[in-house]
Amino acid sequence: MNTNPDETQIALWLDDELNGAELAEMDAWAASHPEQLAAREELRTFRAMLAQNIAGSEEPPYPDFFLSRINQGILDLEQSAPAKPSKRSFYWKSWFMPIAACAGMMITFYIGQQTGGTKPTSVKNTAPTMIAPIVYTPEKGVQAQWIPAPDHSSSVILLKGIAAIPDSTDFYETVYVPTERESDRTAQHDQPSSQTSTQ
Amino acid sequence: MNIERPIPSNPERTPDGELHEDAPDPGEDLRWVALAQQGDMNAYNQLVTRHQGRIYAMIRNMVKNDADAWDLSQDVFIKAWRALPQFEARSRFSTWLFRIAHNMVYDWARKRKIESSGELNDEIFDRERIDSSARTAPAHIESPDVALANSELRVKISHALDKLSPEHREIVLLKDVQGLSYKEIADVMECTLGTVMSRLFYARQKLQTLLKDEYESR
Repeated sequence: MNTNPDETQIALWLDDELNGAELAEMDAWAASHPEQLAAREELRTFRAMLAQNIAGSEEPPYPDFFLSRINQGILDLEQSAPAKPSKRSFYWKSWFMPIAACAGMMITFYIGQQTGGTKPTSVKNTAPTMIAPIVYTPEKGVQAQWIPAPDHSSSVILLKGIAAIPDSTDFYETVYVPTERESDRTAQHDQPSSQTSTQ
Repeated sequence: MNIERPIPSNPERTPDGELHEDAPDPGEDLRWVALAQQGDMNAYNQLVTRHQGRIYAMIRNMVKNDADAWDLSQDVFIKAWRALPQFEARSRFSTWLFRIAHNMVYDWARKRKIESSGELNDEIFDRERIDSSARTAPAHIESPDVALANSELRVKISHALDKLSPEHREIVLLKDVQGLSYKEIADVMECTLGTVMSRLFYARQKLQTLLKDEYESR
């Protein structure tokens, strides 16, 4: 060997990772480098010492239980996780999904065209229909008739058999009618009180 | 596969770099993997049985806790099952498992760090007592293998390993105990070949110094 090997080659040779032509070349080189041969022997002894005193393989405690727990863990995992897509289904989906999506969009568009293009044949009266109320009359002989307006916007109750209302009846005693001043109370509240300021 | 069969201490390679005769055959692994990828649970159980000893030993040597190693090893195989469809046999199945184990151990260490609100340091990997809150706490049974493991030299080596950083400890375990190649270690630890060589050089140097000190103090 004319040139010295690089550090990587030496490291691989020291750790007995070379074989074939590479190993032969390095062995030839090492023949003239006794310190490398000694280093390799020292390393072999060191590795043997470690390998003999540290277990590279050790049966886990309760191996049957160990395995059954793994199986249970896998079972739990598969029950909780969604089904794993296989490579085949992924391939199938890779070309089918876009086509299916386009077809779905076209069908939706067609249905929309068919339903959205038709005009209503008749417009139904959507105004609320009034239901005839039951009118209670406390006096006997009095009849009440409920008459709705044609457009159902208002109604009139016609009472028959009731005595005429005398002219002396004071409606202010039965019905609250706000006076002009009361209807404008808000404006008065906004005015500052002169009495309060003078006290 | 008979799970009671004694498993060699270093099934992948002998210290001379030769493949051990009892090492899990990578070709046979791939056959089981192909069946497991089709959903064959029995085939996957075969893979678990073939590799559980190495994964458990590796994790136990890293976390220094039987109960956590037991739980983490199971999590490795559960995660491996989930990721099995992505396994493309570019590396050996055992290397792939070591990579999952590497990630699981460092995730576990990070969670420990968050729980303790402390720094990620070697102490996380050096706990020797069993956590009472662990999901499982297998009883410790003294066996002839364990008795042998308690030999004086083994204890000294174990203590020396504990003094290494997690990265240095892991690289020594992967290389000198599990027998992985530089390339495989780079795959497992997700770093370059140069980083592997550098780390391994310094890790061995420190380990040899620590063991030398041990001998001199006797």
